[in-house]
This record gives sequence, structure tokens and C-alpha cells, in this order.
Amino acid sequence: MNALPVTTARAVLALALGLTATGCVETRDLGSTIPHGLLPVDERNPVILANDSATDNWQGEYAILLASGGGPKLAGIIVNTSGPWPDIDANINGWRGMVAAAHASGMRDIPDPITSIGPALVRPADGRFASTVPNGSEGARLILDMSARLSVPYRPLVVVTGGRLTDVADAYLIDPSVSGRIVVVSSMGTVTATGGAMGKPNGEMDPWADAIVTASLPFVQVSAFYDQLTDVPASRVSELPANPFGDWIAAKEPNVWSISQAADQVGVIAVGVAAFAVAVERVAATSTVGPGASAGPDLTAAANGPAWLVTQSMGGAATARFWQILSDPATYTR
Amino acid sequence: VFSCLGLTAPKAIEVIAGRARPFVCCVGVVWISLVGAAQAKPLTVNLAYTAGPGCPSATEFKAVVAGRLGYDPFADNAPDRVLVELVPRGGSMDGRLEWRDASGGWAGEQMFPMVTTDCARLARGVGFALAVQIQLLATVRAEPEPVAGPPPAAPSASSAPAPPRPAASVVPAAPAAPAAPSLVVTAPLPHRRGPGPQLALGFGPALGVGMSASPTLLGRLFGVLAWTRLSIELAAQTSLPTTMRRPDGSGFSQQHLLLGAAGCALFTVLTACLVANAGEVRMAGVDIDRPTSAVAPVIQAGARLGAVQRLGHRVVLGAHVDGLVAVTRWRGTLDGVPVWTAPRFAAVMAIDAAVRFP
Repeated sequence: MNALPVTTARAVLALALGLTATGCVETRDLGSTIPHGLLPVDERNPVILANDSATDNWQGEYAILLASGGGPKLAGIIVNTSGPWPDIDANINGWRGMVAAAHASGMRDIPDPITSIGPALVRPADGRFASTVPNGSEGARLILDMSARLSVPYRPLVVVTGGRLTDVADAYLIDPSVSGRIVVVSSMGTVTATGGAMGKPNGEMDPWADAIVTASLPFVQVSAFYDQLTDVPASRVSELPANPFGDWIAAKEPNVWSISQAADQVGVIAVGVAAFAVAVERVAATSTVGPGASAGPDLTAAANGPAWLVTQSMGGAATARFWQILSDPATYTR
Repeated sequence: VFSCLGLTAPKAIEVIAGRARPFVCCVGVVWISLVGAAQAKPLTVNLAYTAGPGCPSATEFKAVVAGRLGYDPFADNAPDRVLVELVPRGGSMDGRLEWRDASGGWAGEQMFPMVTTDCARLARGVGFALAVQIQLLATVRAEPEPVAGPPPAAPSASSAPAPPRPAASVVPAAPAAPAAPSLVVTAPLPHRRGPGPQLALGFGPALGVGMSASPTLLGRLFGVLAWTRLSIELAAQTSLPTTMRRPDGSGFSQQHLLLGAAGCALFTVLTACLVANAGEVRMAGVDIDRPTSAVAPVIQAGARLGAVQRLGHRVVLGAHVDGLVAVTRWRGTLDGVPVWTAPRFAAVMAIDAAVRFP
């Protein structure tokens, strides 16, 4: 018997090609990620830090320690100004000193801070976000660049702010598609009877930016502050590691503000320590920001609201994690 | 004629004891050959002789054949090649006689399993069979002549000092040798020139490309029914689990379970086939917070190119490459985001070992 007739082979080939051409791709869902806490992001998300001064709270120290102790990875540090901290040179020098101490102590994967110059955004006469003139600041550019490089659909970049939201809103004005790549977590405002207010601390610094961010970007407001003097009390200074980073903390300890609302670190802790945020509400921005406003929009509780409001926190969990990482020799080898 | 040449005999013939009895299968044609031998030109063949320890040398073996024929049929430049192997197998021996044509192609073979270790005896049996086959081949190639022609010009007794030439009147009448060890002469095993299909079962590893994100190792079990120029293969194959991961380390594993069929055209050593596989791929999320599992159907069609090489009369080694088109495709997602999509084309490279059964 000879080979299959050529016509038969051609028919089979045509059938196979035909089936292939008409065949579709069947999709199978094989798993999903569950956030480790009550927020939509956790220690697995990379973060960018944005703040003004480096001296009044422990935000930078927490971010650096968490980055060296299991996450979140610190992808950038944006240093800007605010009413209480208008001197950009003083601000950036403070952050540079902190990062230099970290590097000198062996913490390698900590980025150098950059300055971001730009005033608070100005509400346009027509009240439309799109009519706002962007600053085009360095901080906004860094957010756009890092979000393009690091963000993936299941794990967006988190921008953690401890000051005004100007750079974040500026990034959105430059490229609105950034809304699909970042989540904004801000230590800001207060808890109210109906939800939250975007006033002091930090919310009053750029109300129009607050309005743009809450309306356009995934947003988490952390309004659950704690007594940050318990993080490094004077009685524990002697327990600090004998390295430049320990020396930095010891030198800073007397200057940390005693008011709890200054504890900008609550934002980065809410991302990096799952046990910290113990009560979270879904909220939506329900008011507009008019000309000359002194605060951002009100956040009203809504079951399916687009934003999250952290209303209660566990400061003890934060402090325990802080010292655990600080005391671990492995912290200073990565 | 060909049945005596060992090309198409359908089953084994066992002849017990007696020097002449192993050759009873050829009685009819031997007579014809003897009748026609007078017209046949002396045929020469190129002999390749391999024998185990204790066996006659090539010269001694040639002497056996020459004694039977009455002339020396061996010449190094002869177009027809004959391979003779006498191989000890523990307490028995295997004899094998293979013909190859002028182009080196396989033309036929005959097996001589023997239940004793008497290699000299085996050599005589194989030598006699070879002599008969040479004689027959010479007759076939001679000018056609009536069977009832002149009697064969048999060599004189002086020219054939070895055992007496076989003759139709002699072979059946040869007395049985009592209590002699059995010499079993077996007609050729069914092979691709035989009338019926030949069965082979085998296994082998394979490497699949395009079936997962990285090359996949597969294991195959298969059965083959082979005719002269056509074979059909049915196979079952499974892959080792492979895992595809996204940048954060989470991912999913997948494993193929397939049944396949192939229809092949057989050439000398090459095969060309149409192939179809059907089965499923089993997938499961790994290193992710909430893993799930799923199954997707797999249908592939394509073509195969392969080569086979026989080792002895039962073992066949082969290698092939399949080019496959995915009729059905699948995509694995995590967090609703695709991690991997099966490509439209795949290839499988396989090595097979098979055992033929009579």
C-alpha cells in the first residue's frame, strides 16, 4: 500500500486549518490576589513617598524600614513644600540625610529623594478639572515614570502622601491614564459623623488638588492618627541600633512633633502593616470645591463608594513592627 | 519462491531434528530450483558474517554454503548483500539471515532461533538455507524456461565433497535423527512486506515546545499496527507539570493528558504521518492568595516526520518531530489578567523504543 493519497492529506490539512481559523481561546481563571488588610493595597505594592519635611514625624523612617523588612518596596521619594515647611532646601537636605544614614547602615534599596517644585493648583474659572493648568513638576513626572515601569494591573503603584496632593493631581493632569496605574494613600483630614473631611492636617494645603484626586484616582484617606511619641520614646533611645540610621533616629527623636495629627507615617503604615488599619469605610466625595476653599471635598460614607477612609488604627502594631525591623540585623544587609 | 526466500511466509514452521528437516518448508521450490538451476547463472553475493565465540569462522561458513551450491558464491563486489548473524543468547542461539538489494535496501530476512548452544549446527542450518536461497534467486533471475526442462547439471560428487545436495526426493525421506537437540527454524516474522499487520508496542520521552511557557517533557505509550507501506499509531501521552509565573512570583501550573492517533506512510527508514491529539490540560493556580483549578480541552492536528531503525528482529528505535496546530486554545488568568495563552502552533520531538510482536 502506498502513501495516503495527496487529496486526502490536503483535505485533512484544510480541515485542521479551518478549525484553527475558527477556533476561539478559552479562558480559565486560576486564582486571585486578596489584599492582606482592609485596604485594596498591601505590602506587596511598590510605593512612592511624597512629603515636605523630614523632621516632624517618622514617615520616612517607617518607609525605609518597611522597604528593608519585607515591603512595601520604596520606589521613590518626592520632597516638596507646604505652609509649615516652605524651605525646599531644608526639606530636601533633611531627607538626604535620612537616606544617607540608611545607606551607610547597609540598607541598599532606598532611592535618593528628589525635589518637586510647584505651587498649589489653581481652580480654573469654569471649575472643570481639565481646565486646570498643571505644574509639570518633577514629582508628577516621577509618578508617571514609576507607574509606567512598576505598576501592573493586579498590583498598582501606591503614592503615599504626607503633605499636599499637588504632585499627584499634577500627574493626573499631565496624563489622565495614570488613574489606572496608581492608588493614592494620604495621611490627611479627620473623621466626621458622616464620613471624613479633607481639612487639616494636609488637606487644607491644596483643596483643588484634593478635589481632582478624589474624583479621578483610587484614593485612600487615612485619618486615624496615633501618638507618635510612643514610637521612639526617650527611654528607648538606648535600644537603637549602633549604626548611622540608629544615630539619625536618636538625633531626630527630640524634634518629632507631639501632636498626633503630625504623624504622617500612618499612610505608609496602613499600606505596609496589615494589622494597622482596624476600621475602614467606603466613601465618596460629595461636595464641590469652590473658589478660595480651605479644604477638600467632604467624604461621605457610601457602601460602594470609590474611596476608602481609615477611621481607626492600632498604633501599637505599628510601633511593634517598627522596632522589629529596626532590631533585626538582616535589615541592614538588604 | 518468496516464501522460501523468507519474504512472505505467514507463520513459523518448526521442524524437529534431522539435518534436512529444517528445510522442508522449501521442498517444493527447492525442486523447482533444482530443475531450473541448469539455466541459472551462478549468482554471487557479498557476505557480511558476524558470529559469537565458538562459532565457525566466516571461511568455514562460506565453505558450508559453497559445498551446498557446488561453487563459491561469495564475491566482495557482488551487488546483492547478505548479512549473517549467529548470536548466543544465554542457553540458546539466534541465527539471522538478511538480504539487502544493490541499493542497500532491506529485501528480506529469516530468523533461526535455536534452543541449544551448538553454533556449528546453527551455522550449517543457516548456510544451507542461504545456499537454497542463492540457488532460487539465481533461478528467478535466469531467462524464463519451461519447468520441465533438462535436468540440472548437478555438480559432480568430486566437486561437492561436503554434505549431499538437497533434492526433492531426498529431503522428505531423510531419516529423523533421534534424540537430537531441537533446531527450530522459523519463517520470517511478519514484517512490513507481509500480508497482515504487524503489532508493535512502545514508549518514549518527548519534548514539547509551544505547549507551555517553557519546553515541556512528555512521556508516551503507543501501539502501532503496520502494513507494508502504512501504519496506524495510537498513543497516550502526559506531560510533567510546568509552572508559568508572573513577575510577583504567583502563577499557575499545567499538565497535558492527551490521546493521539497517527496515520503514517512508510518508506525505507523514514515515515511521514498525519497526527491528531485530543485530551485536556489541567491547570491550577500556585503561590497566589486564592488559587483555583480548571480543565480545558486540547485538540491538535498536524504532521509528523520520523525515522526508524531496527535493532534485531523485535526492537525498533525511532525518532520523530510533530508540527502541530492548536485547534482549541486556552488562556490562564490570575486576577483576571492573562498570564499565558497557548500559542497556535506547537512542536513535539520524540524518541521511541518499540517491541514488535509476531
